[in-house]
Amino acid sequence: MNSKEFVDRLLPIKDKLFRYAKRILQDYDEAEDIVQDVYTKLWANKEQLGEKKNLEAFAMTVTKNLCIDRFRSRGYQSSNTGVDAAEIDISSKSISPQKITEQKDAVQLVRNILETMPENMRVVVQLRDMEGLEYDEISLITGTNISTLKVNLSRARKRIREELVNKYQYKNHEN
Amino acid sequence: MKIDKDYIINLTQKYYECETTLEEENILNEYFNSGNVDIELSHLAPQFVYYKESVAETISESFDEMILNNIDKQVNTPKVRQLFTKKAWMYSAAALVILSVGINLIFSKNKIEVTGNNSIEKNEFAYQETVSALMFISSKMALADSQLNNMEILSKNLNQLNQVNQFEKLKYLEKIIKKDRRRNDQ
Repeated sequence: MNSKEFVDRLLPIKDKLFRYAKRILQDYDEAEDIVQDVYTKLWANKEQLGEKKNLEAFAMTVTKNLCIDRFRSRGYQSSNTGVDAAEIDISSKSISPQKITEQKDAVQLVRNILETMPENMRVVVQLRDMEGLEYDEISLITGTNISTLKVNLSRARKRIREELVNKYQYKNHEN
Repeated sequence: MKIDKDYIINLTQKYYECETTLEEENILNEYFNSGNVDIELSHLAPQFVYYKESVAETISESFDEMILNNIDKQVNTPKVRQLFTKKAWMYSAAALVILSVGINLIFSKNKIEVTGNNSIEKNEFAYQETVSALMFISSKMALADSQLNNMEILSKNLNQLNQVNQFEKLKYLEKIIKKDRRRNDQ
């Protein structure tokens, strides 16, 4: 793979790799560092990249592995930087200011819930609900079979729903 | 077009059991981010709103430029000149040939015919001198060959080091600049 192909095919997914790394490490600077390392590694092995069927999944796997290495080797405390509730734009076409505040608090709550979840649940939510990957792609990246992925994802989604219901005491028609 | 509430409720039930397709999940995303959510379902909206906003998060703007510069530098950096040349192999081969001739002479020593005392002495002397010369040449060629091998190893390592150092240096500089910017922003 030459430099032009490398740039055209791999640079567009940098944000996806970054968000994935950040979901695992829960630290902005560390995640950015990891993504730099990912590209270093990919470039060093550029001759083999042409053989890969799913380049994006491969890059995500490299990201995951580097995150795991970093997580284990440093044992660092994350600065917990991430999406701030104040930055979140709630659609407010016909909603009162009080409601807007409530929704921003609720979105912040979702973020907090995710951050306290086990890594395997956080990661599958990131890859499916945010990045929109198919289950077989997620399975390739994480090395987890699809049944287990769905179990983890279902638990994660339900936990978020339950926390929101408990917090805000909304009517729940699902049960 | 307003989406049917019962359809959305049905989709959400499938969603929490992980039975929805990506297309159906996109429908839920659009609905819950539309700002026009039925009151009975409003408690589910924050989850989808958070997902949408999280995907908007991106890596720093200078990242592309850094990667492109690194690639450009690595592509355009001339390789360290090869210090090990083909000629060295020729010298080694020549040394082996000379050595073989010398060994042959050593083992053919007993075949020298005696024609007269002077002849014998002359032949013996010539033989000894030839052997000494050949052994000397052989030892020097072996030393040169070994030194050329070391130069080859050095050449390879310098090439590899040159590639790694560029990235490491830029990474380190990038970190310093970012930390400095954050300090100034605060």
